[in-house]
Amino acid sequence: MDAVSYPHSSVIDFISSNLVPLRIASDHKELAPQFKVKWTPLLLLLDASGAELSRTMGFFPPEEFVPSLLLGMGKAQFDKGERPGAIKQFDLVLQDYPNSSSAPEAVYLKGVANYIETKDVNHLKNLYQSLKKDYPHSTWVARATPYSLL
Amino acid sequence: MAKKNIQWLESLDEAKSVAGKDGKLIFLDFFNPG
Repeated sequence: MDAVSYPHSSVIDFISSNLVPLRIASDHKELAPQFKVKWTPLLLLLDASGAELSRTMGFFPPEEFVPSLLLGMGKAQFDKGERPGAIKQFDLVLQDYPNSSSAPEAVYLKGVANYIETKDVNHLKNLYQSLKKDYPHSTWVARATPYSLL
Repeated sequence: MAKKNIQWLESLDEAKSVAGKDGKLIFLDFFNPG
């Protein structure tokens, strides 16, 4: 991450504008056990109280890193029930990084969030059709398959 | 204009304070100190 992704201008701009960046050594006596650090790189999103919202492990190249952060931010809002905000984050993934590995999950979660907001079952049907058409090799197609029966 | 580097904080308490003030989430990188 230090050699490739963190020096990348898009990553610097995104993190500097949208997040509070914090680096902690993986052998930190208090925080490593608290966050159950077993391997690095370990990347977490926390709220302002320090509560963990999401985590990913392993290297991300720059073109995958920003969409993964957007997806994580959207999922954090989704989990808090802040669906309109979550949908905006998922839309950013799909508009700006449609070829990233985060995009299929963004399609799925955007459709689910829209369904919960509107109770319109077409959002579930459409998310399956979108995944099948645009991301046919993604595991998210299988996860959405039940919606093809609605 | 892009900043040259990410301006990392090194204290969770400081990060929590900034996040609360700015309405942002904290991005925490646990790194291998080598």
